[in-house]
Amino acid sequence: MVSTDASAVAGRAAEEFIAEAQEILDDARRDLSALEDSFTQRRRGDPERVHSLFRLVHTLKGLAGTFGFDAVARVSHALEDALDRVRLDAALIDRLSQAVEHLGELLDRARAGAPDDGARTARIARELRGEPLAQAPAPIAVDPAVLAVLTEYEEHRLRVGVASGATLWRVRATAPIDSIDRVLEEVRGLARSVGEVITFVPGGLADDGASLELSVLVISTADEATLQSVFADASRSVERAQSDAPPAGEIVAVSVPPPFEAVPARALRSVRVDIGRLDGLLSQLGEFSLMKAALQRAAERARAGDARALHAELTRLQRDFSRNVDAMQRELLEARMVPLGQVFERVSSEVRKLSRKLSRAIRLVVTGADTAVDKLIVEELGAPLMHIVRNAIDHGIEPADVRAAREKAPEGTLAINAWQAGSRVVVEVEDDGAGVDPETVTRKAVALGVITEQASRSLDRRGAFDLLFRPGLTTRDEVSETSGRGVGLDVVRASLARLGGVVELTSEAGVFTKVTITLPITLAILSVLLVGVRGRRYALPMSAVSEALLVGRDAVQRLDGREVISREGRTLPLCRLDALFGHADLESSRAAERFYAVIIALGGHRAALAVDALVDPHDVVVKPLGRSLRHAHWFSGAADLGEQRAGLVLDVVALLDETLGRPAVQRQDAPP
Amino acid sequence: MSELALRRDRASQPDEGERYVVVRVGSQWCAAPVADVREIVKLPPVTEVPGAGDGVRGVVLIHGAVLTLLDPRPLLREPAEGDDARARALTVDHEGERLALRVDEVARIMLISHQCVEMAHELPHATGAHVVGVARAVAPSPDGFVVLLDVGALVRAVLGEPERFS
Repeated sequence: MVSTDASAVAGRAAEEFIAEAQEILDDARRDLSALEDSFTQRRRGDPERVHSLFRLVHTLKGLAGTFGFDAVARVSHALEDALDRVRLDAALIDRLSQAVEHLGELLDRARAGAPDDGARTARIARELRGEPLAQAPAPIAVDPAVLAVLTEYEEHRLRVGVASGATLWRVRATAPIDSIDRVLEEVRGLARSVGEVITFVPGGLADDGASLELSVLVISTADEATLQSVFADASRSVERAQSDAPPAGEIVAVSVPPPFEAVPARALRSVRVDIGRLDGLLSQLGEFSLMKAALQRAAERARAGDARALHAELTRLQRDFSRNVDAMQRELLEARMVPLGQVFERVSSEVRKLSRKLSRAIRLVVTGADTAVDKLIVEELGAPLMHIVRNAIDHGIEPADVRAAREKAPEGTLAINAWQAGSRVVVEVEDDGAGVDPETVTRKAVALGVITEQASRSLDRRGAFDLLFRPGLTTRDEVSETSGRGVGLDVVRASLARLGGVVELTSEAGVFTKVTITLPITLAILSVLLVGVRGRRYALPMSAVSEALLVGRDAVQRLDGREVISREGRTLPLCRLDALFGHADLESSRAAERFYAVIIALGGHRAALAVDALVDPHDVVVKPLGRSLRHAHWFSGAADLGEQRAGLVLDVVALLDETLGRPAVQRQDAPP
Repeated sequence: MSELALRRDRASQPDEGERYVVVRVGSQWCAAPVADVREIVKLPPVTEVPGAGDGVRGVVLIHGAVLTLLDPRPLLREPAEGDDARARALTVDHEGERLALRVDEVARIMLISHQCVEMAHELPHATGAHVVGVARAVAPSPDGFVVLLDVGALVRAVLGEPERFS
C-alpha cells in the first residue's frame, strides 16, 4: 500500500509533469503549424522548425520516461525517430500532427486518471515508424568536454553534419554581461551563413572581470580561411574542435582544453517568468529593505519625542511604500500573463483535424494572438473555445457542394479575433457558414419545452439566440460525432461565467455566425467599486461598471411587473440589492427618496443596481469562496477590504441573469 | 473521532484518555478532539453572505485567507445570537476546504479519560451523528457535563450535507 505522503508526492510530480508536458505540446503545435505554413507556401519545410520540434519531443520523451508515463514516452520516441529522418511532405506533417494531438489526449487521460488507449498508441507509433531508420552514425573525433555538454539531439546533428563532410568549429566570443544575448544572436546569425549552430556554452568571466566568455559550436563545410573572415574580429576567434582521424564506427573523445561547464537542464515549471521581471521584483524587495531601516529611524525619533521629524519621515515612508507595493503588484500581475496564442495553437490544431475528418476546406484567420491574459484564464478558456470552434465547423461551415450551390467560395473561413478592451479581453469566433435562423431556434425551444409558446412571442432576435445557451437545446436533428447532442453551449456559458465572462451569439442565416466571449484579463487582482447596501459593503468589478447616477424615487417605472429606469433613451431593468440580499423588504427599499443606480454592462447587456452609497474604487486581491458557499451564487469571491474584514465581490454575470430574468448559471467550484 | 474509533481506543488503552478542546456553544459545554482542530483564533469581524444557508454565519479573514464561518448553535438548538466578546473561531479541515467554527468561548485543552465517557448509544435518546457521547466530571462545566463532538459530522450537519456511514 502506498502511504498518503508518497501518494501526495507522486501526485504533485505527476501534476508537474503534466503542466510541463502541456507547455511542450503547445510549443510543438506552434512549430507544426509554422511547418505546415512553410510547406504550403514554399513547398518545403523550415529546417529550424524541424530542429525545434525534435528538441521539444526529445525533452518530452525524457520527462515521460522519468515520471513513468510510458505511453507518452512511446509516442514521443516514435515521433523523434520520424523527425530524425524527416523528408517533409504533407502526409508526414499530418502524421506528426496526429501524433502531437494523441500526446495531448494522453495527457488529458493522465490528468483524469483514465487508462491509455493502448491500441491507438501502438498504431500511431507504427505509422510514425513507417520508413527505415537512419543509417549508422558517422565516426567523428571530438573534444570530450564538447560531448559532455551536447544533448542527444545535438550529438545527432553533429553526426549528421560530420557524415556530410562538415567539420566542427568553436567560435569564442567575449561580451559584456549586459549584452551577451545580443552578441550570441550576432554569432548565430553569422554562423547560419556558413553552416549550422550545434549549441553554445557560456564560459567563465573574462580577464577584465566584467565580460563573459562564450563558445558557439558550429558545424560547417567552409574552410578555415572563410570562417576566419566571417567570425574573427577583436572580440572573436575561431578554432577547430575536431581531430582529423577518427577510428571507424565510434565517436572518440580527444582532449581540447579548457573544459566546458554543463548547460543547465530545462527545469520543471508552471509559468515562465522573464528573468528581467524577477530582477525587477528583487530590486523592489531591496527598496523594502531600505524602508525597514527608515522605520527603525522613525522608531528612534518617536522615542526621542521629535514629532515633526517623525511626521516627515512617516509621510515619506508611506509614499515610498505605496509606490513600491503598486509596482510589485503590477510586476506580479504581468508575470501571470501569457499570450492568448497559447490556446489558439490548440484551436488551430483542432481546426486542421476537423477539416481533414469532415473533408471541408477551411481557412483559419487568427488576429490578436499576442493579447496577454492571466495564465489561469488561458488554461480555462481552452475547452469552451474548442467547443465553439467545433460547432462552427460542424454546424456552420457547409460542405463544398452546398457552398457551391450558395455561390460561396469553396473554402470556408473561420476567423478568431482577440483584443483587449479596458480590463477585459474580447475573443470573437466567426464563420462564414450556414448561420442560425432565430425563428427556427425559437420553434425548437418551444417544441422541446425550453420556453412556453407565450414566452416565445415576446422574444427579440437577441433573446432567441440566447436560447442556444439553455441546457438541452440543439437545432440539429441528427447527432454527429463532433456535436449536436444539445449538451455544450450551456456548459460553455457556465464555464465562462465561472471566469467572470459572458458569451453571446449573433448570426445571419446563410451568411455568418459570430460568437463573442468577453472575459476579465485577470482573476487575481480586480479594480472594484465599493458600494454600500444597508450598512454593508460589497465590491463591484469596475470592468463591468459603465456609470453611476443619483436617482430619485420618481424615476423608477414598472414594466410588466418589474422595475426599470430610463437612461439615454434606453430602458434598463433595476435590481435592488438590499431586497435581493434580504437586508430589507421590497417596500422599505422602494420607500427610499433617492438611491444610487450603478449601471453594469457586459457583452451588450445592461442593467441598473440600486445601492445606498458609493465608495472610491480600489484594487483588491480576489480569493475564491469555498465549496461550502456554492449556494451563494451572487458572489464570485471575497477580498480583504482592510480592518481585518473580508468583503464580498459581486458576480456581475449572476446579477445580470437575475435582473434580466434569465435562468441563473450554476456556479461551479472556483478554479484552483 | 467516530464512536467506533473511540471505543477501539478505549479497548486498547483502557487507562488513557484523549485530548479535547473544551468549548462553550450557547449554554452547552462541548469538546472537540484536539487532533481535529488546526487553530483557535479570536473571532475576526464577520461578513455575512446572503443566500449561503442557515448554518453559515458568513466569511472571515484568518491569516489572509477567506474562510467560511459555520455557526453550530442552530444545530445544537441554541439561540443564534449573543455576545461575540469571548467568541473564538476554531479552524478545521473538511473535505479539502479549511473552515472556521464559531464557539462562544474556549475554556481549555484537557485530557478526558475514557472512563468518564458515556457513548452515544448508551444515552437515553438518539442523537445526531455529530454527538459521539458525553463526558462527566469535566471542568469548567458547572455540572461537569460535556458533549463530545465528531467535528466532521458536525460540519456536514451544519452545511446540510448527508451523513456518512463508515
